[in-house]
Order: sequence, then C-alpha cells, then structure tokens
Amino acid sequence: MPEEKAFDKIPLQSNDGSIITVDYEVAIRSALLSTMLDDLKSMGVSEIGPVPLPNVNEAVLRKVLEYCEYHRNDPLTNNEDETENRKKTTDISEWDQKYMQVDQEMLFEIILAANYMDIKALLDVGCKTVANMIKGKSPEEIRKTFNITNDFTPEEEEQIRRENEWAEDR
Amino acid sequence: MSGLCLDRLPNEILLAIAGYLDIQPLFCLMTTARCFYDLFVVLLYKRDLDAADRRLSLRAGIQGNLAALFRVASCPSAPARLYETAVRGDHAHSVVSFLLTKGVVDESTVYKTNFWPMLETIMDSALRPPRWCPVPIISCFFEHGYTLKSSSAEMHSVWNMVFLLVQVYGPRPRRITSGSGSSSDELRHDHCQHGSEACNVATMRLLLQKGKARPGPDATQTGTNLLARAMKDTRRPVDLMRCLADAGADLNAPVPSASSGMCTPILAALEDALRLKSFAHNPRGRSWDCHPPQVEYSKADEAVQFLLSRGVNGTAEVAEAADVDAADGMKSKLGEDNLTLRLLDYWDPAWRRFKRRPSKHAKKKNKGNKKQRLE
Repeated sequence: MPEEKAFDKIPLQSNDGSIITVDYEVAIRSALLSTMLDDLKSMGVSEIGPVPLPNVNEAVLRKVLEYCEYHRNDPLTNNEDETENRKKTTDISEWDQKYMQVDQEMLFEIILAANYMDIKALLDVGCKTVANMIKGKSPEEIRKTFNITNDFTPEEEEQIRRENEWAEDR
Repeated sequence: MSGLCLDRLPNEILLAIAGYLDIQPLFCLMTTARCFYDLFVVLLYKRDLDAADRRLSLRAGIQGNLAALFRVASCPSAPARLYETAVRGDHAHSVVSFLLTKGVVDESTVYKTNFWPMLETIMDSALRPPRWCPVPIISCFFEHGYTLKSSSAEMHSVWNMVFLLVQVYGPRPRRITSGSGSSSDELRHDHCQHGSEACNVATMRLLLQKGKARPGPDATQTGTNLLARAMKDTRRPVDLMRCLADAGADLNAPVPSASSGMCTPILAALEDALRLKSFAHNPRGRSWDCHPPQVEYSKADEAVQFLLSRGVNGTAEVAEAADVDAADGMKSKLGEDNLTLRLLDYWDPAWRRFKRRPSKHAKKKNKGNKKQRLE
C-alpha cells in the first residue's frame, strides 16, 4: 500500500545557498531525507522550509537529484538484505554508466554526497565505477589514473611485494 | 571544487570500493600508497581467508582463535597460499607480526601469558597433512613476548605432538612416491628453516630455550616423562635427550620402565636395548607377526651410549658388566661386538638359550641326515 505523502515538494538547500525543490518521491531516495521527513510528519509539521545540505554544493546536488529523479520509481530495498547481493557484481546499468561519465572530481563528489545523503544505490554505482577503473591496472597505472603519490621507499615496496607475492596472481 | 582524489576519500568509502575488488586488483591498489596499504592489508588477508570457502571456521580464526587460521595451512586444497608460505620460514615473521599488530589475534588474550593452548593448536595443525614445520611460527610468538606457563593442561598434548613431529630428509625418490602403499605424510626437510636439525628436535629446543619450558618435574606431573619419551624415540633419541640435558633435565631422575617400575634412566635404556635386541636377533622372532623384520626398533643403543657418556648414576655397574662380559670373550651369534649385545649375553639367560638352540634350517638339515642314515 503506498505510504501517505506528508509533503508534495521538498526544498533542498545546497552549501552555496541554492535551493532546489524536488518531489517527495525523489527526496525519499535519500535515507537521510526520508527519515527526517518521517520525523517531521510524526511531529505534525505540515509545511517545510528549505532543508540544508551543508556537505553538498549545487552542481553535485543537481547531479545527485538527476539520479534520484531517474530512479524515483525503483523499489526501496532493505539495506541489510541488499548488502550481500550488491557486493557480488560490478555490473552497472547502461543509464547509470552514462550518468557516471563525469570527471574524477565530480565522481568522488557524487560518492561523498551519496554517502552523506545515504543514497545506497547511488553510492554503490559510484563505488562500482571506481572499482571498474581500478580493475586490470598495475599499481603504477592506478597511481597515474588517480594521481596518487607513491610514498613508499623502494625497500618498503620490495618488502610489500615479497610479503604479498601470493596475491599477485590471484 | 577542491582537489578531491581517491586517497582523500573517507575510509568507509574506500572500503566500500574495495568490496568490489578481487584479491589481485585489491593488492595492486594496496601497493600504490601507504594509506591504502594500511587500510586494505587486513581486508586482503581476510579476503584470502574467505576465498578458502570456510567462512564459519575462518571467521572464528580471524576473531582470535588461531585454530582455524592455521588449519587453513594444513588443508591440501586450501587456496590460502598466504599461510602455506607463511609457515615455511621467511614470511612467518611478517605474518605473525601482522596477525598480532593488526588485531587479527588479540594480544591481550590469555594466550600471551599462557601460550600452551595456542601452541597445541599450532602443533595440531602442523601435524595434519600436509605437514609443515612449526618452528618459525612458534619462534615468532616467543619473540612477540608470548610465554609458556610453568604448568598447563595442554602441556601433555603439546609434548606428545612434539615427539610425533617426524620428518624425512631430502627429496623422496620418485619410485617410492608413486608407489601405492608407501605414501608418507612426513614433513619434507627441505621446507625447514632450521638447518639440518630435525623438526622435533628444533621444536623441543625452542620450547625449552626460548619458551623456558621446564624439562623435568612439571612435565612428569602431567603424565609425560620427557626423558623417557626421548629415550624411546625411534629416530633421534640422542638429539632429544641432549636438548633435555642442555635445558637442565635431571638424567638421574627415575623414569618408568617396562618391567621394573621406576628405575634410573640408564637401567631403563639398557632394559629397552636388551629387550629389543633380543627380539631383533631372536632366531624365531623373524617369523613372528608382531615383530616383522621391517619393524624399526628404537635406537636404545644410542640412548645407552649417551647416558654413559654423561656419567649418570649406574654407569659403573653397566661398565663393569660389559667388562666382565668382554673378559669372558663372549661374542654375539651375528658377530657383532656392540655394547648391548655383549650385555645381552651377560644379563639375559633367555638370549643364551636361543643362541644355543639350533636354527630351523639346521634342524631340517639334521633331520635329513638322520633319514639318510636310517635308509
């Protein structure tokens, strides 16, 4: 049975002051907002002001809401049940793949925002995207891809390699 | 936008990303920078355990019970190559260090002050095929401050397993390896890292020297008389006895003997040597099912010689018997002139009786001659 809506439109405020209004169905893709709205509803609040999201800027918020808008009708799955299944595959749907074709900074911002707003599905897609970027690359290629500074000494590097050589061909 | 990159992401997100990586790419990511190494090394080792498909037992292993952890190493089909390589020397130190420092094994557990239970687990795992040498692992624990309590319920079991830790030296001949009933699960010596010393000897020395295990009275209380067990060892009694003697074991303390209850070690060793020689050279014994010719008898001779060389109580008596015997000019039937055979001649009347009794072949020959004469 569909849950009774407390609010039709939810205004969201990014950390740079922009306010973006979204439908209730879009907003509740975020577990953070969903819980907050439920609480407000139980307290009898009928009107809601802009919800501040201090960790998310406008560009990222718009991108995140784009994802939520597209997936607004997806079933909201139980987090615990989902955990096992979502770990097994790195397959990403076509739309999600296209959605994630952004520069690295934006990708990480989206992941951070998804983590902050508790949007599991988006967080998973983000993590899978990064995992796919890592797969099949050598340590040096990974460093180059993600601009990581190698802070190991050559001796340490050799020692790590020796200690974990069993993992190299796995 | 701030200069956000992968290594600036929070750990929970990095771990979520790692959750989608297999062992190999995870290893590659881990080796890119120190922050990733520190974060992912635990995950990598745990992932390897999961890959062994023994989740329940392995989870227990991770949570502090080393039994499962070491059992992985003992399983022939275990993909957990980490432990297979770990226990074979070079990697042992780093793995044990890892287990201790990364919290896989809780240093605050009771094992730290009483290492016997964990030692029992390690030895148990080491003894299961394919066997592995426990010396490097045990040594690492001692280096990390693990100590053996003076008395523990597991002592008896551990010492038992130390004596069972036999091994063969060098590569096994192909002919024997491919034979049907000759497969041996003994430890290959070429895997050990403690020189030419046998594993049981090296383990015993380690427990006595680094672990400060007491070689004498405590072990006796729990039912294992180490000296008696060492004397009866079929392979290297002298090495084991030397370990015990070096650690201060009393070579004059009474040990159980087969026939005379408790007696001095020299008498027990002599009794053993005589009994086994008697079996080995008994003309009838060759056809006894309970003493087939291929039975390996204990090296009681060597034990006797060792005790004599240490000048233990009763040495004079034994030497006197040997001298008297030598003066009589008695020689063994097989022409051997070792100490126990001479003592056997002197002390064991039954052996003399057997010596004088004609062999089956001789009997048959006599019978034939008699028949011929009658004809």
